[in-house]
Amino acid sequence: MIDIRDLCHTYPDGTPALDSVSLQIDEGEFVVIAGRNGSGKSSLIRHINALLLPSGGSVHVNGLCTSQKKHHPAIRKAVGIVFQDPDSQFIGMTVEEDIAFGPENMGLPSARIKELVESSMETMGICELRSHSPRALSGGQKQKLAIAGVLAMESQCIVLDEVTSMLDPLSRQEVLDAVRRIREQDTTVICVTHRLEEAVDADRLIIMDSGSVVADASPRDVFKKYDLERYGVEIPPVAALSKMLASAGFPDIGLALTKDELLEALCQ
Amino acid sequence: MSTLLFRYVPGNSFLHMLDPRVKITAMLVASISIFMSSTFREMAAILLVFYLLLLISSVSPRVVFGSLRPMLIFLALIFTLQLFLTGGDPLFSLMGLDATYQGLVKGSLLILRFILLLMFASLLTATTSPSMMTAGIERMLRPLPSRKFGISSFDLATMMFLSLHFVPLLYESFNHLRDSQISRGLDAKKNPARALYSLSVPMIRTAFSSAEDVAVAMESRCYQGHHRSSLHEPQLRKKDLLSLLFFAIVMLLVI
Repeated sequence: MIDIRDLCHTYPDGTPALDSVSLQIDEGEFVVIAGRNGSGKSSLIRHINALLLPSGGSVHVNGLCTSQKKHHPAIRKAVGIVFQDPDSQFIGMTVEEDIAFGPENMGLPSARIKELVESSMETMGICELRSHSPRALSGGQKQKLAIAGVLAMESQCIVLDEVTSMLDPLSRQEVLDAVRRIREQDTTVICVTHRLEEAVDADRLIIMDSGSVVADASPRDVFKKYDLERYGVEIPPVAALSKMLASAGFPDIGLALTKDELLEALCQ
Repeated sequence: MSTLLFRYVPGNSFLHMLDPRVKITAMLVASISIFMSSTFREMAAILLVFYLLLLISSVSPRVVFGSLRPMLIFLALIFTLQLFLTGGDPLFSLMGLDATYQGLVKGSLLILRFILLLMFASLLTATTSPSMMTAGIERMLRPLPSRKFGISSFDLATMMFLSLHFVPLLYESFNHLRDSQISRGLDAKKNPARALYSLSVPMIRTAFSSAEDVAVAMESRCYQGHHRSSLHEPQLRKKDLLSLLFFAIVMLLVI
């Protein structure tokens, strides 16, 4: 559904952000994008939502080219984006009103908006917060609300830009569980993160460095074949431990991605 | 907190449920009758009407008085000016100026008008959620030929909504800025002029950058400026029109 070809982007002040990036993302895929700060991850995802337009190359979403302004509403409906800092993206005075903002812009009838608001609150588990002010919520609740706002637009693809980076471990887990529920509904999820433990069950892990894609494969292959420290990312602790064990004389262990896998390998 | 001013109090009372257009029109009717009333008796009657509405709304009187508090200095100033600068029978004199009986009456009537107006306004905002208010104003503006000037009623409503949205946002960032500057040695109490200077520039920058953030967030959620629908679609029912008619008749009888 997303087709990026030779995408280049240079900011107006001359800073190059993306250098000839080509990527295809299919419907229903769960893709994680990682890389050090300034590697071009955020610029890349802003292109998918037509918030940034290519300086070179092209981005197509569902066959619609982002360079054409008339396609922007359809593209933004298809791809919803949740930003790192939830406070800057709230528009409504209450949780319900904020979630309704997207569907309202799409001109849907009031009854349909109510349905959408209700079902996205349910998916994110924030029904009891409906009349709270977004500002009064905790960090995790704020991110869940931000995701619900995108869900209500019935987007086919949801882009999460480092949504867990400001959260404590418990809220992080809650948000990740909610994201898992969204994936179960066959929504394409693109997740930008610094924590690769969030990538272990992804279909694809893409590593970016200085504006280019340097790795694009299943998480297992990426952890196995690439020296990730060079690109400023850390492989998850379990994978690192199993790598260390393997090089310390237990070659049978292989590469374990989760605690259970590692335990199983050790028992054998 | 600044949000105590003219804030919305969620509820399910009869007033909360009324169509926002009816409430806005009723506010206009109330303002007209407040400005047409010229005796204490009429004002007392309007106050009584307000008290009944407050009872119906089940909004705490504290909310209404909270909106009055910041205006007290202003009201006192108006009263004092009227008291001393109106000619008539002297009551007492202070620093060579005579306070007059006519001044006392005129000043009291004037500030009573302001107080009544503020009270009705705060009752309106307390029983109408900001989004309902914007929806109501948008519907009321829709027949105006503003499109000829390139502005739709939706644009106007969004502008209003965003200005409401930014009040708590700016207040919050002001507190953040002040705290961070105090932690770096700014003494706001000892030197308020310097504090004002060192806070204003970052404050303006913050305001612009958060406006930019909100604009990006709105755009990414399909905001296009023209036709929008609304979660709460205001519906003008018979009940609404009858209430407005009843209110207008009461206000006419009162003055």
